[in-house]
Amino acid sequence: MTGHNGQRVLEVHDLQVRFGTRRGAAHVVNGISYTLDAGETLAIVGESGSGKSVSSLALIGLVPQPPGRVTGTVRFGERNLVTCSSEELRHVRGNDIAMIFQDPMTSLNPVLTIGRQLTEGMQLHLQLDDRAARRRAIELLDRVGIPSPDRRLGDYPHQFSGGMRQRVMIAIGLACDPVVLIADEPTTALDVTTQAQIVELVDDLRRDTGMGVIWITHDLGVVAGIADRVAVMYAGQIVETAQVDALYEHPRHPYTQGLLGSLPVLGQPERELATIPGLPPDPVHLPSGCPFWPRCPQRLDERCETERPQLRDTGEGNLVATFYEAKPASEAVS
Amino acid sequence: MSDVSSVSAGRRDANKVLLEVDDLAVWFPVKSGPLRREKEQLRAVDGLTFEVRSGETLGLVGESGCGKSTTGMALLGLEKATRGRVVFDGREVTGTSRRQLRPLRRRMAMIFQDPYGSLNPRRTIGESVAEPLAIHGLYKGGQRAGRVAELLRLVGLSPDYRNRYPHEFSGGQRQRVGIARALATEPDFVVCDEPIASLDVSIQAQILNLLDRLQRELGLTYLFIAHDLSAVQHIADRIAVMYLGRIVELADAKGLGEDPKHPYTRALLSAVPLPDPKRERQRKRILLEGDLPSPLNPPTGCNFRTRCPDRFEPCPEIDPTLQKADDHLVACHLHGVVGEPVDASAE
Repeated sequence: MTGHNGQRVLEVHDLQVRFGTRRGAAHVVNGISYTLDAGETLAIVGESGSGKSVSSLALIGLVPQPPGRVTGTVRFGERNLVTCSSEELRHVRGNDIAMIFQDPMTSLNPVLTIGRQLTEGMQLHLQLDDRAARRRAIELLDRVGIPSPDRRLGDYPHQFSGGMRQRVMIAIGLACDPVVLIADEPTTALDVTTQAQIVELVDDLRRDTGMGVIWITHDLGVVAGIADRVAVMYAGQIVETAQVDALYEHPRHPYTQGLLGSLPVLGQPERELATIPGLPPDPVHLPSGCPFWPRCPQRLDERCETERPQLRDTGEGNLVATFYEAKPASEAVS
Repeated sequence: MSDVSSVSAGRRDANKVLLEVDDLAVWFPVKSGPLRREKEQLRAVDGLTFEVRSGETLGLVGESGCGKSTTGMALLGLEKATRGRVVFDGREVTGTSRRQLRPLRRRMAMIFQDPYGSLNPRRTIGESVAEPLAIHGLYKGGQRAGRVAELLRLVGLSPDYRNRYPHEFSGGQRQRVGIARALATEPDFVVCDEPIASLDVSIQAQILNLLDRLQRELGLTYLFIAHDLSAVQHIADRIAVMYLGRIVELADAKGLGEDPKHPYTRALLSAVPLPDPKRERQRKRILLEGDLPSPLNPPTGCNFRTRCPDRFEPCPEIDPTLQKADDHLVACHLHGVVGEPVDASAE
């Protein structure tokens, strides 16, 4: 879980993404900063529209510009990925930074065998010949738990079940020994028992290879099981970030508190579910000040409506962007 | 919330059975083979027996393809039963023509997963909510607008919204419209088919709380179909767990969570993520081998045996039926169903 070797592999600073729309500029990611170490799992949590997926697409140059506009820095080794040429980015993607998506059926090519899709990247990035690539493809399929891998190389994506397809996606992602794996809701479309298998697989692979993992999800349950650190996103900003234990033990941002309070928990059926009133803001018309103030149960005064709170240290390991001073842990979560 | 007693479930009239299901099966004919000439039967639902008591919430959980949605449709007469009976308040639903069913259907309703797909985008939400009233000839004339306003208020929407279209609403608000429509004809029994699955976490809680309040205020009986065990345990009095068209275990919601008997229930519970990092680290997951078998060709004997960590000799031979084990109903040979001694090594 926390056995990472601490070498910094990715440093994101003040990343912003906006899109030109007919209604005006949509501010989808509004200045987020974080770091990722080798062997570490960082979970980025948020609800739909929070900017969690777009921010990771922006990391590897997958936001089309225009209509998008990406600013800030993404430090990866010597490079700043935001200013890299598309040529350089192509070299980074698939080779150094791999990404797996929610729906393997739409991210796999339905008319190519999985053997072809697996070996393509290796031949491009690692210059392997056909035989070596085939051998490595079989090893990878075996590693991700696909039975009789040599016989399945010639199969097409539709011949696999949902869970197996996600395993194939992971194998493709791992083909070139990535330094960073970005997993964008990879288990959301899967059943819980299959989800458990995939979560375990990615965690094993992280431990074996020492890659850093960015796990993007809306599911606070999954996060608790795999993350070392968590960043909670709301309206394109990180509103709270902490080590996983600290976040769940003493959430300090009213939004994080609301999210955790609204979860039904297995084994606690009598628990009252807290609700967060209202809806997330429209990225074209973000509220001034703190983006959460219109829904915030702890709203203080005009300051919340006019000034944007910056991440600050609470002294307990949480960084929070709120003017609200949380009460001691015993009273905070109710 | 009231304490859920571990013995009897329902919140009111605990003993009155509102819906009785006896050996219900729904098979779909599927054409297969190279020339699509061979006909096979896809056994979506294959022999369910249970009852729903007046005023309770029965949770129906299982993974995709286990037949839980088909069951919900068959209970309302929306899917034809291949075998078995569904009896609603003393009257048979199965084998009854649509016209004859109509007076009964007024008392049953359904809430769907996808409020985007279940509302007509060209109709105002007021028209959508009024539609069941028109079909059943209720609240005629000037009264109808009043009833629509009342229903919108009931689900927490302003009656001023009645002239707006579905695209003007968020997912959670649309689900509220779906609920208002379902309640239009004052039903007794509501099938909720994954009503929160497509909503964001913070909105899920709003809808769960709303369903809970409506049940208390209107004395509704729910069949709550979902794949999310945490949510089902929160709202249900009793839970039935389905696997490949069968119920493998049925028990009180609390009892099922604390002491699952069937190996599949155990695996399912162990796979549910908990929002608690310390407990997550200590948990031991039961990881199931392989994939769900095809419902076109289910395994012989117990249909879970191909993935069961506890399988033993009788499993491929004898099909287990639901039997009482403590307060649970369980379909598993581990619980001494065939009179075989329980294999201690399999525990």
